[in-house]
Amino acid sequence: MTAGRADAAVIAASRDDAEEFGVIYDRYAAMLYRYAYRRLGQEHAEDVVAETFLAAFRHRGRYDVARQDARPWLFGIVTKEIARYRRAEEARYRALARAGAGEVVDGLADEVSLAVSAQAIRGRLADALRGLAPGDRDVLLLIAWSGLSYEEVAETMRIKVGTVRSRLHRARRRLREALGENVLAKFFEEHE
Amino acid sequence: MKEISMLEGLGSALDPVGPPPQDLRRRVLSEALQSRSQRWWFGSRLGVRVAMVGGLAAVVTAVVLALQVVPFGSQGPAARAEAADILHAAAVQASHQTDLRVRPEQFIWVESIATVRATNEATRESAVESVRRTVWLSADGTKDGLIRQESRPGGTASDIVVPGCKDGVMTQSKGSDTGTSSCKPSPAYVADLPTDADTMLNYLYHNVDGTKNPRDQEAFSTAANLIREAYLRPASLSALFTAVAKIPGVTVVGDVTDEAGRKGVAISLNEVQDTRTDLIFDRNSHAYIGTRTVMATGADGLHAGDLLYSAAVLSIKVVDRVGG
Repeated sequence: MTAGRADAAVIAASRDDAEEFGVIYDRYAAMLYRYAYRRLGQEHAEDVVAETFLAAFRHRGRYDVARQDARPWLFGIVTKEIARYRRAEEARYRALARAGAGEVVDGLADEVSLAVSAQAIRGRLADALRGLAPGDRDVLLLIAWSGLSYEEVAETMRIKVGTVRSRLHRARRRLREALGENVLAKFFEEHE
Repeated sequence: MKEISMLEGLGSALDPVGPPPQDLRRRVLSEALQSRSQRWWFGSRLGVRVAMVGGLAAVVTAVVLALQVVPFGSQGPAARAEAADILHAAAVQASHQTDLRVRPEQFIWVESIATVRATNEATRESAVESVRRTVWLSADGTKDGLIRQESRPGGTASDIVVPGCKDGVMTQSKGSDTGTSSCKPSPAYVADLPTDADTMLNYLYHNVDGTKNPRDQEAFSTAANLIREAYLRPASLSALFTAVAKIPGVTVVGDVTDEAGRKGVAISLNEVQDTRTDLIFDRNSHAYIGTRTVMATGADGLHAGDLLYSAAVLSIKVVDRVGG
C-alpha cells in the first residue's frame, strides 16, 4: 500500500500520522546501519542509527517536501551523529591499521600472501582515513560508501559541489601518499 | 578512482553480518511515538485509521489458517527480555490511544475474525471453522447485547442475544419460552480498572487461587480475557501490558501473521493443559490485534502448533444501540 510513494510524501504524511514514519525506517535503516557500522563498528552503530531516526522524526516538520529522495537528508543527519563518535572512529581505524601491519610480517606461502597483502593494504587505508580532516573524511566516505552522487553529497553536507570535489581530491591524494603508487599498482595487478 | 575502489573493498570487509537488530526498530519507533506531542494523536486521524482497518478487513476473504511462525529465540532470559520489549512497546502504544467516554447505556462494539477447532467426540476428527464475529456488549451489563456470527467465507449469520441484567433480574428466551432468573450485571466496560502496573498486577492475581490452574497461568488468562473483546481506557490497557510482562513464564513467540493477514509479533504463556496462549501485537504499531491458543505438544491426533482458537480483532467502537 505504501510502496511506490516518494519519501517526501511519506514524510509529509508522518506529520499527521506518526506511525507513517515506520516506512522511512524500513526503507533506510539497513542502509544507514551499514554505513555507520563500517565507520564505527557494532557498538556505536545501533545508537547512531537510533539517534538518526529520532532526530529525523523530530525534524520531519521541517523536511523540504520538494526533495523526493530522503537519502541526502538522512545521510546528513547520520554524518552529524557519527561526528560525535570521532574518537571511537579513529580508534577503530587505528586498530585496523595495527591488524594490517601484523599481517604483513606474517607473509607466508604465495596463496596466503595474496590475501595478506589485501589485508595489509586495508590496514594502510584505515590508517590514512584516521589521518584525514573530519570534513574530508565525511566527503570521501559518503562518495565511496553511501552510493550518493557528488550533487547529493553536496546536499547532504550542505556544501557546494565544488567543495565536494576539492575535499575529495585532497582526501584521495592523502590516501595515495599513504599507500604509495607502487602498492596501488601491485594491488590492481593482483586483483583485476 | 583506484582509491575509491579500494575503499569499497575495505567497506565490504567492515560490513555487519546482517541487517540491523530486530529490536532496534521497536526502540526507535516507540521512542519516537513517545516523544511526539499528544496533539497529533488525538486528532481525527485515529478515527480514519480505525475505519480503514475495518474497510481493509472487509476485502480479506481467504481464511489463513496456516499461521506462519518465525521463532526468534526460544526460551530463556533473552526470550523473556524480548517479550518484555514487545509488551513495553504495546504499553506505550496503548497509552496514546484515544480515551473514549463510555456512558452506561452504551455498547462496546467489537468486530473480529475468529477461528475455532471443533472436535467430533465420536470420531476424534477435528476441523476448524472460521467466523466473522460482531458483538454488541452492554457497557454496564444491564441491557441486552448481541453476538452475531457469520461463517466465513460468506455464510449465513446467526444472532445470539446476550441478556442484560436489569434490577437483579435477567430475562432469557428460547423459542417461545421465556424465563427470568436473578443475576448480577456483567459490565462490558469497567471505568475503574487499575491504571498503574503494580495495582494491575495485583488485580490479575486477585482470583488466582479459585482454580487448580497455576497462579501465573490464571493471571495471564485473566489478562487475556480482559482485552479479548473489550475496550479498556488507555491508562488501564497500558498498565495491563506492563503487568503481563511481569508474569513469570511469559516469553516471546516470534513473528506471526494473523488471520486478517496482518504482520504481528506474539508473546505467550504455556499452560498445563498442553496448550499455549499467545497475545499478538501489530509489528509496526505495536497495538494489540488478537489472541490465539495452539497445541504446545502433540496430543489427540493434533500436533504442536495446531490451532485451537484464534481471534483477530478488526475494530472496536462505542455505539449507542445494538444491531445494524
